[in-house]
Amino acid sequence: MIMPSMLITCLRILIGAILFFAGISKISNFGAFVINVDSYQMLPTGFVKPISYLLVSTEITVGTVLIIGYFSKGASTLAAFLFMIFAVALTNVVWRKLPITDCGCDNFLFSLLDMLGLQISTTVNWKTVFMDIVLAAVSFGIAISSHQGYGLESLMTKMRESKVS
Amino acid sequence: MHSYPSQSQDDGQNSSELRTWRQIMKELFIVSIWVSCGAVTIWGADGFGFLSTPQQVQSHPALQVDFPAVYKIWQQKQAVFVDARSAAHFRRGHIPGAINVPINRIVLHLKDLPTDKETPLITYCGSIVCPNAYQLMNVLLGHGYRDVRFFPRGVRGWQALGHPLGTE
Repeated sequence: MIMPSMLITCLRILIGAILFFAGISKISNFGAFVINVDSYQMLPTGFVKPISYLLVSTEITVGTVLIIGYFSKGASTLAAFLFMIFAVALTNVVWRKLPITDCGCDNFLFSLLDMLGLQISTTVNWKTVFMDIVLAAVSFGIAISSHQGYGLESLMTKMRESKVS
Repeated sequence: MHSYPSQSQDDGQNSSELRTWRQIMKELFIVSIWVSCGAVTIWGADGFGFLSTPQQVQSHPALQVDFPAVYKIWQQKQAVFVDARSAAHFRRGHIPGAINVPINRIVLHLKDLPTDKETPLITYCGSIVCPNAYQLMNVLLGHGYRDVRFFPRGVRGWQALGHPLGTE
């Protein structure tokens, strides 16, 4: 089945690129990211930095793994969890009407849509929450899909099979 | 005539689902270990000072400009104010004379900034909890502007002291 495999591959790389570039932009300006995490007012001060390390590491690791297509089922499940956490954090901002003007969620997808002339606002609102829920659903769909898609994992399986035969 | 799945078909489907879930859990465990290693690495990098931290920014007062100096600078037009918020927020009210450079659209708006890299710039955003002014300041310093500072209180602080806002 080429079509579902192609679709799974494209979606997997897109989710991977979103996370990877978001992680890179955060680590390159880590100080600002820590302030951003703190401004969500969801964590005690002592937890802000450790959680920031974990978030950046998750984004870069999961993004890389999804792009190359290795352990993609586990990575996409983790990506789904991550997007759900972002959705909960943004819901908290909208619900409590916190004075955060920018969600800090500008990413590869936004830049891609920008290039296509479709500018998306990064203002925190229900649309951003919905977008995170959609990304979580897509990630979870990749995890439970019976199609493997193309990547390092499928390449290694093929090489193993050809060795056996 | 309806054909019902046989017991063996059901068993086959259940065992394949079970295999998928087992694979997901196994991969999740491995990827989580990698993530933890990554987090420890980033923590180490931060500990050795390879990453910028908010404490470093706060301890560097030369990068900040606050009241009453900021109002004096604005009155005497000694610096160009750069608003890091979105265009929609900018239209609703901004420091008069400011240029809008949304933090997520910097590349598109760089042309709006003064070409002279020596021009003093002051970045600001919504309020004291908003990190975008500091973020934009860093980006502008990276683009070669030599005199960039940020105004941490932002529009809310400006408004709170009764200073006028522009909507042009």
